[in-house]
Amino acid sequence: MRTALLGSLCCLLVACQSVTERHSDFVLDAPALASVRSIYIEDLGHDEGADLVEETDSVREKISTGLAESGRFSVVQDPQQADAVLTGLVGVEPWYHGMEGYYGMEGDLDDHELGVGKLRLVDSKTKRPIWTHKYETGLLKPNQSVAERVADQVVDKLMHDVRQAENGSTQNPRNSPAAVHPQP
Amino acid sequence: MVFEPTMRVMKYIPWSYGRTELVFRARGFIYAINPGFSQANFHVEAVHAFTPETLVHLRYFTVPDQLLGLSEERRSGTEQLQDERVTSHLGVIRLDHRLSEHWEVQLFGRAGIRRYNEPYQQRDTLLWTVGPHLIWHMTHHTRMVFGYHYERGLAEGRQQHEFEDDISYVHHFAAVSFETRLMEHLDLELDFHYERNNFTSGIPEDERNGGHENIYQGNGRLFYQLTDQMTLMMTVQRSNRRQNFLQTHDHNTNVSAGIIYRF
Repeated sequence: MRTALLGSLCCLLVACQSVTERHSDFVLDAPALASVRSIYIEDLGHDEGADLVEETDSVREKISTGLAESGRFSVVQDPQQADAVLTGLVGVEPWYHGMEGYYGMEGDLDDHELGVGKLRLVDSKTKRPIWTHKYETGLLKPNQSVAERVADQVVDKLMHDVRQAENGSTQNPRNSPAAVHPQP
Repeated sequence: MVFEPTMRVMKYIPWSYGRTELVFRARGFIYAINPGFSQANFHVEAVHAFTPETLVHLRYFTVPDQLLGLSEERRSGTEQLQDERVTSHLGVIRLDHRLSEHWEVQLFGRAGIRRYNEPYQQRDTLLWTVGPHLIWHMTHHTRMVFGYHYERGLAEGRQQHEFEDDISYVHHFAAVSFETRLMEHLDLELDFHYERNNFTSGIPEDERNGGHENIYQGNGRLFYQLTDQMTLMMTVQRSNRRQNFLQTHDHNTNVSAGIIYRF
């Protein structure tokens, strides 16, 4: 019986290993992105799955600061004054590792953080998506929090793509899915 | 050497009056040298948050057919050494309430049964536990936990005097834990607990009559989050057990390393 139980446990672990994540559609409208100068950042904590996500305001603030410091974009407080609106969901999702220390007394500090970032840059007039971004998980830097990593990735990716767009090149950045230009 | 594969599946269910987290966990212990001691345990848990400050945990926990080792059986009269096995079923409830920014109280209770294999059926035990925990949240990433449990176990042997084997007990458990973040992504947990089992057998010929045991255990754990989905874990555990009725004094030191991956 114990062998069967242990075998079942191993099979379940292997099954979990085979689960793959679906990638959402990727959008990069290079000419439109190159023309964006001002951005309004919406509340980034209201998309699907937001109830599991924390530190949304902190990440939003870091994105705002990063874009403003880039010198390429101005971050405006009124969507009417913006060329484009950044919308979506960012933050960190705590995950509890469940390795309680002693019976019944496991704590809520036993958790770690998964970065969350699914953003769309939308033309403020036509409401068409110009650019999308999905956070890529990976190796954490020892002195960088997960929230900082999420924000830095958004700013770095947007700056990279806008430079490519301004250079007239829409070549896909490495490790990104193929670009899909939105239909009019 | 022991391998400990663990799987934890979790699902959040939002309600209009709070949020419920459903958890299934399976954990195996695969002994490389003594495979007969390999075992698995399972728990199903629901954690409902009425508000962010008030939660209730309900858990069913089971350990099927766990081998404890060779023991002297008392039922046949031959007193042969035979495998002693036990299956445990436990129901657990815990109420958590955040009193303030820095203080939290938890009330813990559990009840269940341990069923032994046929040669040891007089050891079948009903048990129940109650106890409070007090948590001091010193900072967002540092806290101390103080806990005490009182447990009563009532074995069948207390009514079957012919086997002279009543393992009924009163159990006291006290623990203190310190958890902190040493640096970004690196967490440290230290805990120490003391257990006292007073055996309550009233059978004059029973070796546990008037017996007790003391257990001390210290744990140290380090967790380092390497990626968004992977954490490295290292633990050191030292325990010490002394039983007055067997005049034994056991030490045990375990060191482990592991990887936790979130799918």
